[in-house]
Amino acid sequence: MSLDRKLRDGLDRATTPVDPDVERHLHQSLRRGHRGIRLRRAATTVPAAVAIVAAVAFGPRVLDVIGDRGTPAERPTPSVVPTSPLVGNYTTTLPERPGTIAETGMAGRWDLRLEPNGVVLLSAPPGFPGTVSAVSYEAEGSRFRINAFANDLCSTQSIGTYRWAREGSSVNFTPIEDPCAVRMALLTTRPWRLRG
Amino acid sequence: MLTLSWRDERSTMTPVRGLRVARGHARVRDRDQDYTWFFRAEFQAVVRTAYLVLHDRQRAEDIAQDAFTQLLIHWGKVSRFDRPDAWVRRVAIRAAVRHLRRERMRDALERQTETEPVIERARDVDLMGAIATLPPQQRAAIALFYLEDRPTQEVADIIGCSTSTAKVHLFKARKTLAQMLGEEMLDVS
Repeated sequence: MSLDRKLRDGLDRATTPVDPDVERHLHQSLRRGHRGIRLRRAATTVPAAVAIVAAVAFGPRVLDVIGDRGTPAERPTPSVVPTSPLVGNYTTTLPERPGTIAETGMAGRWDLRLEPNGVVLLSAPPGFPGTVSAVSYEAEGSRFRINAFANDLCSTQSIGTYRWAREGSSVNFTPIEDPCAVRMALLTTRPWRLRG
Repeated sequence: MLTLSWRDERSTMTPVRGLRVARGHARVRDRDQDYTWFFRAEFQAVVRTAYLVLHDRQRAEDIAQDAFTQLLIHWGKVSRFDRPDAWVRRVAIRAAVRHLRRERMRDALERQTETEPVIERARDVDLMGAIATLPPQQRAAIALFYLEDRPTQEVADIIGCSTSTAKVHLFKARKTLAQMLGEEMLDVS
């Protein structure tokens, strides 16, 4: 028997005993799905309702304040998003080292982009199997908080707090509190060099 | 069904509102009927495919149920796609692959030396044991290609890679399986 025939027949036989209770799962999926739909609707309508209520309640007061201060052209334009001194593109290369780095395939070049709106774009070496999306940060004074790997490797220890310090064109992170060894290895093994 | 109560007769606005509510209920009923039909047709196949990736029946059922719950939440959009069945498989298989990677990572972090995958008792223990040694994406490719008889383009679409990458996954998986099962490998392309 050829490999293909063996695979087709074998997989078919191996999965035949897998016979889930379809009606029970259907009932549960309908219940959970309806709840999800209600939550999605609430997520879009509640903020809109709050915005309308706020506009009605505070709108006249805001207009009064603006009127007292004069025309917008006379005032300096405030920045829309508070920017952190850390905003920029950084890179580091983690060495092949026994322990967390070797065990999790972290060795290699990492790129870190800290955006003004608190979003982190993280790029990992090809061998790293973890999730590097949906990362955000917060920088206040010399404190730096980040939730990298909160979706998988650090799922039970979602946020780490560090102290940051600039040294020439590099930034060093020193842990204040981070129970996640993977995140700590990423941030503290080597300085992060500013690019561009 | 639209019914007018004694209150409806007192106002010209209320029947219009009642009609809107009735139409809304009808839409929800139609959606649930379509979804129920689709669920009954596809759920078991998705569980079996997820099982081949995970080798854990309970986890496969949980992941398939999560995927179908997401499907209901996005039914308005997904039901207009050409292949809603591919969408739900993509969600389930990506969740299964993520789960497997997380498990492996957790094992590595906990420094567990026992990396033998847990294989449930099945009639084709040799075949299942051989598949358990494959990386998650190769398992998914094998399940979609051989169990579900999907062409490589659809396999690629569901796994989330290019057609040529899917062919590479299939080739490597077949090569490993041929070696482990002592079979000759014939070209399937």
